[in-house]
Amino acid sequence: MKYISILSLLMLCLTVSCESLIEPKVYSILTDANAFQSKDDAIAAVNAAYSRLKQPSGSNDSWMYYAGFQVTITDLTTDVGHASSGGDVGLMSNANWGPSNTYLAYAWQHQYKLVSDVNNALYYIPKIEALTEKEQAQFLGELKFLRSLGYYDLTNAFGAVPLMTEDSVAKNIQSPAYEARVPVTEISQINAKIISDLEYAAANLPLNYTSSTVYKTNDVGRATKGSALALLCKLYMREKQWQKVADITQQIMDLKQYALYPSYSQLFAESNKWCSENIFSALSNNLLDATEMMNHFGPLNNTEVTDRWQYFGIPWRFWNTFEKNDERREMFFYDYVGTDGLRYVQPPAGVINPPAGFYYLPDVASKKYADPKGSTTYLDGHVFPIIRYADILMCRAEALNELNGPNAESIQLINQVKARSKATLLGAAGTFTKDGLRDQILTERGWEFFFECKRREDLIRMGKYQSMVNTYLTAIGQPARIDINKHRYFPYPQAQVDLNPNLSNSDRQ
Amino acid sequence: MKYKLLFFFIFVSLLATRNGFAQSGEVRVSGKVTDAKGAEIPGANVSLVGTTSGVITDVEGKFSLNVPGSQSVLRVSFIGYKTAEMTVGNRTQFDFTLEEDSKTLDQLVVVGYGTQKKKDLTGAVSSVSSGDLNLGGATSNVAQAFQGRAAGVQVSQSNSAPGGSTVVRIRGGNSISSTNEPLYVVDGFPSETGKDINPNDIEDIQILKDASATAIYGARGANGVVIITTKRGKAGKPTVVFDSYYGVQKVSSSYEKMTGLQAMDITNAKNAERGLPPTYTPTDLKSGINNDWFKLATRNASVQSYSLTASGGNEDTRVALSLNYFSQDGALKNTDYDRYSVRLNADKQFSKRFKVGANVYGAHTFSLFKNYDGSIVPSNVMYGILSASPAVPSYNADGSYARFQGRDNPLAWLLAPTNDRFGNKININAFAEYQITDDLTFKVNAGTEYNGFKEGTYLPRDLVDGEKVKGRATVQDNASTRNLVEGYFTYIKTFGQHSINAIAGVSTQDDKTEDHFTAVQNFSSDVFLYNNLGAGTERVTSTSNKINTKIASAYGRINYGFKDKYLATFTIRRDGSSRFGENNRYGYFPSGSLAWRVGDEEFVKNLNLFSDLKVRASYGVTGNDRIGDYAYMTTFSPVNLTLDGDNSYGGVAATRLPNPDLKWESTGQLDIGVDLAFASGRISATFDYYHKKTNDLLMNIPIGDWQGFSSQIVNAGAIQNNGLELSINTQNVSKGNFRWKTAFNIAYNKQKVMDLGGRPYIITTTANPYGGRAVDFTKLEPGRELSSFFGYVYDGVIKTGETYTPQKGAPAGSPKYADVNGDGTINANDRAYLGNANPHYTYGIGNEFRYKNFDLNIFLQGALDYSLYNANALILESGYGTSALNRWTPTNENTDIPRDGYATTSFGGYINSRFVEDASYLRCKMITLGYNLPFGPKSKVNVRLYGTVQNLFTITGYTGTDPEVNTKAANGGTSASSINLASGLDYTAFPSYRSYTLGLKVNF
Repeated sequence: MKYISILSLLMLCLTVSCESLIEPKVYSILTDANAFQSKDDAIAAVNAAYSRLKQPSGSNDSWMYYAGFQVTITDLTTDVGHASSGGDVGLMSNANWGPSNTYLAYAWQHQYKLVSDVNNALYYIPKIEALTEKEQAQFLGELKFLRSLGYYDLTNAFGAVPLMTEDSVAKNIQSPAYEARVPVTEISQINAKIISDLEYAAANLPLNYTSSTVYKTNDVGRATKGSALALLCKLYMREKQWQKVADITQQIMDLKQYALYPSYSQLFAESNKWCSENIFSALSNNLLDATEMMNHFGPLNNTEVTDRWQYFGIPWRFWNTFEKNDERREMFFYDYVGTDGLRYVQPPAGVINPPAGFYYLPDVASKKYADPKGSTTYLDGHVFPIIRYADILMCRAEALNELNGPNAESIQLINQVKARSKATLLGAAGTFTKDGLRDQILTERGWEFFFECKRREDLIRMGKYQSMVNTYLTAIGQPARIDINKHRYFPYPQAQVDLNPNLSNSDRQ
Repeated sequence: MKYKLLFFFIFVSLLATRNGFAQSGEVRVSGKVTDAKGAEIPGANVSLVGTTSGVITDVEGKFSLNVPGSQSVLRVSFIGYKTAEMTVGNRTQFDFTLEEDSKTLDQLVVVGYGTQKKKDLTGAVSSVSSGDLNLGGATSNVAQAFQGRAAGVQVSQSNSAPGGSTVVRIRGGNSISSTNEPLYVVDGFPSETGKDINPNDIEDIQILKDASATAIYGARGANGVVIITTKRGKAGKPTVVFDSYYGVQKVSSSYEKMTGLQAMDITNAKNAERGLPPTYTPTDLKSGINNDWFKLATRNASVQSYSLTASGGNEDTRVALSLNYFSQDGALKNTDYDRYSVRLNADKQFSKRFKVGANVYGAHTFSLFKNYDGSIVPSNVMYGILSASPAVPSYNADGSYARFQGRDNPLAWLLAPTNDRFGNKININAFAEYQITDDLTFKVNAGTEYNGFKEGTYLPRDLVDGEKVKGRATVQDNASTRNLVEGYFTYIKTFGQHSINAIAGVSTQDDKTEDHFTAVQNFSSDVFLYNNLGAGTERVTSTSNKINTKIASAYGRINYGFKDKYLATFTIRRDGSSRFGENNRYGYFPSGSLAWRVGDEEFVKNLNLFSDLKVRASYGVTGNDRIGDYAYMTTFSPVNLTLDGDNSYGGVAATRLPNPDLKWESTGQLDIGVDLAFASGRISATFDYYHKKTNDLLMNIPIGDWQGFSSQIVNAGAIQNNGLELSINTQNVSKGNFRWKTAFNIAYNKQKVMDLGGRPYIITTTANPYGGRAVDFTKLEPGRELSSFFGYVYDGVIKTGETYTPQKGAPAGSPKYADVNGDGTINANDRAYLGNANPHYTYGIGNEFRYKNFDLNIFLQGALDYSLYNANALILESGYGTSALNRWTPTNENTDIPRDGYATTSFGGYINSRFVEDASYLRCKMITLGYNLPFGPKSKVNVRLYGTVQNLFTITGYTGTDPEVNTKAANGGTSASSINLASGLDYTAFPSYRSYTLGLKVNF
């Protein structure tokens, strides 16, 4: 009997002390137990979320999302973008996408990646006891801005989507249900979330980081009060809340932080990482945090900007609309002698085969992300402007026109933008109808914001997506495929639909 | 040389010690030992009870020794016979007739945490004794030693490089993502590297197969358990054995390659077909360069082994010491493997109730290694050897390696780089056992194992790649330690007709592994190799990692017997592991089994047919805990970005989602078995049927991107394995001086994937021998087996004038593929299952003959009903093999070989049925012929000479070099899932060889 007691005792000992005997010790990895302890940890979590603007992030070699691929679901699906390489990107540019198109899957995946990293940080940062209230508000403000950007882009592309927040992170830690079919949240609810997040960000973020109490350096790439208001402005534009746009643009102008940069071409110089016109950008550095933007946007067989692919081009049809005096017309590689000695030019109308010594470019490469004075290496450090001041001015011009019809302020705002590029200015307000001025604004936005991921939302907002894209498709010999009822949103990526039938593509192409 | 001197010194010291044991007696007695039929038994142990003195019978079964007086008791024992004793009295002549005990039913079998009589076993256990191991020759690890010796235990030598790897599957593979290798337990210590100990130290091996046997190892038992017991000292006459052999390995495979001139001609011809100018000028064609790379790269290599074992002791203290040096040069130049090992096992009985013991093992290995991973990088030397043109020059006039078109020749890649691997292994394991009462014993085991390796490489300027970076050195250090403490009670009691043998105990284990890797380049000189990293001015990479695994367990087993005929075993283990998520920290692994010794029932005895008959049935659940460390935790990793455009900012982002439910893979196994013996035990057989179903397979399942990740590790999916095993042992002849025994085993296993966690299928790719993107190689779908090849069905070559509509526009000479789905075109939908890499049958046949002083062992083994993908044939046919000479040309229409390989057409692909071949084989694994020198009965020295041939012949229809090759398993770094999912690739493997060795064994 004695021995049975000993045995039982031994067993009991084991049961009691077992927990410590199998508690894993981590040495070389960060887990939820050791990753979020200090202010530096909080900053690292916030920084990581910014890195998701360009993906794959952290690898010093990015091309996804705002490192370029965002244009495949925006400009490329309109009359201002073209991909001549065929495949899925060609299908996007011919408005012939389907739910299995890789570029839809990329966009969906990387936009959600941004959202998800924000959610993680939003979940863990409030648990860091070392933070002051001010620090926490700063971090949460930046994160909520970034998440709003992610949802703004997701809803632009896909409409109603699953709304994941820091609460989803908490749920996964408690009892994960990764295979659960999450519900799809209506756009109105997502908008409400974006608005409250951005209002929080606007209330808690500083005007700039020249003298931040939280950060020691002037981190121009971080979201500011101006960034939050500007994104809110974009959301109100989408929702056609013109008065709110008018109010918020005034608020942004009153911040006295922003001005148009004097030179359009210098605005996009690779060396110009930040200037008075930038409100929020995805920053890069060709050595530390490089992109492949130059590879994708740069010209074919060019002697100046060498070894690039011209994966994303601009249709000649659009380039031809620039006035000769408009400096923005010069932002393109439209006529050059290539590495093979041939002259690379636009084919004359109706001519297919070039004469000896010529090469006909199917579309024209832009210098926006292929600065001739920029990197000569495989990787580059171009900055992608996500929102800049010219957009705010144009939004205000549009909102005032929608509210009051053609007016002097709208004309003045548009002419500010035009004047910078020496384009012909608009005449007096009285010479325009409301619709006419709206069309002018659309045209001007095309010239000003090509390859800045604005064209698709502009066309949709102004009710021109179907007509203008179909006209363009017809002009390039493609069927007029756009039916706004089916093309307003892209289909959800097929692999995601397979995992979650709540995502229904029944009313989408 | 230093080591050989050391061996000699120890050897001499031991001889000196031995003299101290010598005793002188008063009476000299002699006699003879025979079996029941009057045949002499040589080598039987004749000892004096209560003393350490004793002798061995000579070849005529005769013995003589001095005894102290008439009260002395002589004891005669010999394996396979019952021990006999006689009191000396007044006699001086003794004739012992030993009763056969060939079934050795009373033999103790080591099961987890204790021993059991073989006849009382209720589970499926295969035993392999040292005498049945494939020792000698190039055998360097334990798995090679038991290959083919146990039913249902499939061993394949996936890579025959010196010290090369083996794949072991017990009753088929249970896992897709995790390893399917069994657990090794050496003298009670679960060792990650138990497979790599010196196989000559082994006394016997028990392979636990069914759940009844393996459940005592709980979460580590699902893949089966190999229990190794090493040799211990025995009471009695001390023995010193010196065993050495030396031999040569001759390459047994070759690759038929064309001559230099033919290679130049075919290159120019292919150029012409593409409209390109010739590569070789008429002057080149006269150069006479003709390099047989395979011949230049291989050699007749030596293999040698020297071992010294000394053991002895008395009833209180027993010691066994073994020293071994094993050295194998590779059949491929600049490869080898050396091992120095020492083992010391000691036991001390302090009192009637208290004893302690210790096992100490230390080994140092050194090898020159190469990469055989099936990639197309030039460091994969066999790829270069197979694919290089014979017209490429080898050496320049000044003796430096010749280059061709700016690239190195394959010989330079074989000989110039330094690739050293050092291994160190130390295992120290001690136990103390106290007998609390006559029935109850408590035992504590504690031990520590260190296992480390260091790899140092240097890429010199002799190579283009080395020149570019001015020399590159890498050093990798890896060190694992394991600390183990276990304590358990054993209770053995018989009450009337009831008998109980029970154990209960606890165990804790703590493993830590550290790894450092540094790569440095830009050296001023090549002299440092990897020994002065500071001399390289450019650091390429420097990484380190440390992990920890902890296991805490409680376990118990009870064996109950009624009338010695009705047996039952119940086992349970509870394992807690740091690898399991918070919600599943502990797993319970129960098993139960019943056995009925039918042969002991009167009605069966009356049949006078069986000398033994037992039926068994068991069911239980075991686990596979090798699911990765920290895998259930959410983890975060550094990322780098800029937030001002100029400076680098650090970030930390999630790399994985948490899965607090993550746990072991769980295998439920049913086993039904019969053990029987006829003809006074001269024929015995064991038959087993099993059905295994593994659930909770570790799977990376796709999840919605809204979670932030596209896949997540979860326990999902199921696989099953069904099989039959049969082993038969017979004593065919035992007449006069002649004896003949046969051991035969065969096993069948059929695997079926039931569920892939909702995934429709899993595709695994393999490196593209033509360069470019890796292509699909195997496809796993529910209903299929692991490693099922998936590709196009080859249908010959498109002939001149032939219109084959599914391949519109394909020119004559293109490979032709069958339109499997009949849609009129060849595309990815025309791929089909082409074969499977898992042998459905594995078998082994051992025959042992003894005649007078001669003994002969012939061991054959093989596998049936499986296929390999012969990628070497693809390389040769598309390149410079003689097969390419028979390629399609307008003047050679009647051929199956396309004009220019499989990559130049947009239809189909090179993973096609042309290269999938049946690999069933029968191999003469080992023949050993031994002769004991007739020194006469008085001699204190016993000398045996022997010769061994390994891999003498292989009967197979497979046209590749070796049907055992498994490229995916050939490199240590390969992931378990890649081995499981994409076995069966025969690609750039180490050359196969035959080894001939001569040995000398001296017993003192």
